[in-house]
Amino acid sequence: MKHKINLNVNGEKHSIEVESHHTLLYAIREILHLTGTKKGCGEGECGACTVIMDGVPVRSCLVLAVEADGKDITTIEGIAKDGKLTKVQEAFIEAGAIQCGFCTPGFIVAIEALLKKKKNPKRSEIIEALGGHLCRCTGYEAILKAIEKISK
Amino acid sequence: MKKFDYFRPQSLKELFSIYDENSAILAGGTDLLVDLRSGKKSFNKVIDIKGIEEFYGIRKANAGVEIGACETFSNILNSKILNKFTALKQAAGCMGCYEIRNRATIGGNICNSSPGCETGVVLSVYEATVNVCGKNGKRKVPFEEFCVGVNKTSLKRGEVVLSIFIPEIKNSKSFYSRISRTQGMDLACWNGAILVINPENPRRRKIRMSFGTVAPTPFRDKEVEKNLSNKKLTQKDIDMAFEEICKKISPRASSLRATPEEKKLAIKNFMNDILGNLP
Repeated sequence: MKHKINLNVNGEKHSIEVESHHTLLYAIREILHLTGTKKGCGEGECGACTVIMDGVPVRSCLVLAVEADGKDITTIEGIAKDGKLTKVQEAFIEAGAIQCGFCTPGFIVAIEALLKKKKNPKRSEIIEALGGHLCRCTGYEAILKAIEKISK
Repeated sequence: MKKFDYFRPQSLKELFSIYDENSAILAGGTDLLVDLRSGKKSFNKVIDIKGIEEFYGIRKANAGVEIGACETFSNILNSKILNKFTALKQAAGCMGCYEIRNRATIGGNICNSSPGCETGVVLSVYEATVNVCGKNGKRKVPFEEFCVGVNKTSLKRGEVVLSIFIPEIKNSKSFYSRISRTQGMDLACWNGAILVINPENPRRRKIRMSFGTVAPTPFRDKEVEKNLSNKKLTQKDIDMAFEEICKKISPRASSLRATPEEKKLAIKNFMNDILGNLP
């Protein structure tokens, strides 16, 4: 069964056709070709596919594309405005919070959503917001340092 | 993922006109989509119920609260109405991870009926009621009759969970505990809930305890609870109650969550922590 859906992705309106069983992750990567959002585990465990949907971070591998009809979506491509990196992105680079980079889009998107809700989150709140994000390279400490630096 | 047709009815009437034995109900999707992708489950139809207003709302009702089946764990955590239900808040706060809690619903959690599901032991000690609705009307199911096995509920064909009613018990305290392999996102390897009514008054005190992952459904032993109630507890009382529980539970040795010994130790520690500190 095909569905025509309307999405507002990173401020741009898209009208696309999806199958019932397509996930939002599939639509973002394979139809809209925004490949910054990564497919990691594909079952909601790793956080690599996190996007912001109507202001709330969600796992795009656990949302059907058709469920996102009419929603506002922000992917990693929509975080930096006019080619200028955000404070979070700059802090990640400075703190060496990126190694292979596969998990980074998920982390950045989740942190941006957290900072919109709370300007100066405590360490425990940062850990809580990132509890479902896996990084196999950095050991997390550099990531936490980067966020703590900008949220102080 | 195997193909299916997707429907998003806007009313209960529309829902029941399309809901048949080859349909799956989609709420948060955090369990369903994983099972559809792995091939564990397959359906011709996936019916998204998030467009139907009857599945929403966290409200005060008849000496308690009613929570719509499509309310997410994040909404439960943020609800002031639920502040008195400490164990429910604790369970909601450690379910999945932040992004999962933004999608996963309480209705989906109990309908999936996993032996360690976060709300199972909690609703069990609160003696919640599940409001169920089908083509031919509504009915109320006591929570202890709702979960009947691993991933099995007493919902009849064509029925859905509308909401969950939790009675407010005056002068009571509730506690939730879980063990998991990591501090971040993980399944509960074991979980438990204890409700104490009249905690400061041993003679009028009632204890309820429920444990997850040690039986196919949340495990309660009312005989043991009775023996722990209406008296000042000694360590011997708690130890005897623990021994009695150990005789009756059936944690599987092949469980991926934790060994039977670890689960028993978790029960013992939880009982000692809560019951051992009552006046």
